[in-house]
Amino acid sequence: MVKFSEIPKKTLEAVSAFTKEQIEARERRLTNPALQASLEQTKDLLVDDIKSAAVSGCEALYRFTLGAGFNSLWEGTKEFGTVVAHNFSVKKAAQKKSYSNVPAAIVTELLKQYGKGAINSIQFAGNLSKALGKATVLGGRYLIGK
Amino acid sequence: MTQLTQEEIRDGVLSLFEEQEVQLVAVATDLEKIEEEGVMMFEKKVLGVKNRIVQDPAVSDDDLERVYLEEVENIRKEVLEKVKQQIQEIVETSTKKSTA
Repeated sequence: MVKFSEIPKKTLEAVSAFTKEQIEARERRLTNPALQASLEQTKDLLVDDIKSAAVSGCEALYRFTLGAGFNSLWEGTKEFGTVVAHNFSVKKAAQKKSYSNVPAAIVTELLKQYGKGAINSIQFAGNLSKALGKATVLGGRYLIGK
Repeated sequence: MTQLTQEEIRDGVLSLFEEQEVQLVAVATDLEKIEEEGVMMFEKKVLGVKNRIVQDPAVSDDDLERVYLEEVENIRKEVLEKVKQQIQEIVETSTKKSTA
């Protein structure tokens, strides 16, 4: 077996340089645009899946913590739909009832559907929980404020 | 059955959220952190795998890209599984707190 100390320095340097070149060439192979695009795609897929998992988790928590309360709150409000429908049938913006707090757009949208009979109170509660869960995760911050 | 007025419903919705707000915001913050950490973990592992396989003589030049992509895909699955598990733990912990 050849002793390391017996190998000429120039040979060692040449081998070292060759190895370095080989590794750099292999690294370059992994930077080609098609491969990079594929990697980005994989990362984007992961980001989407993680976000989806986080939204689902948040939704589950919202349903657990708020679901019963919403169902209770909306129990016995079936006739309320006609009142809401009337409010939303008003064409002039000034005549419309505005929701200055709560995630207003979400509630307004859901009330529209509720008023039109497109969803029932249980669905309203579920959809509101779901929408707020998404808003909290994706929007980052809570929207409640009086 | 008594009908609730629009104002009563709005106030009811508000108070429901206010009761749970601290916990829900805390969970949302935790989830965001987990999301960010998951992506960072992925990037770190991908870099590690890249450094490893370019120096691995067992992986031929022709197989380099294929092996790299396969390993990256495995990392994606592994990280996603871990993140899902962390999210599940947070949700379970939070729901336990709510019932306590």
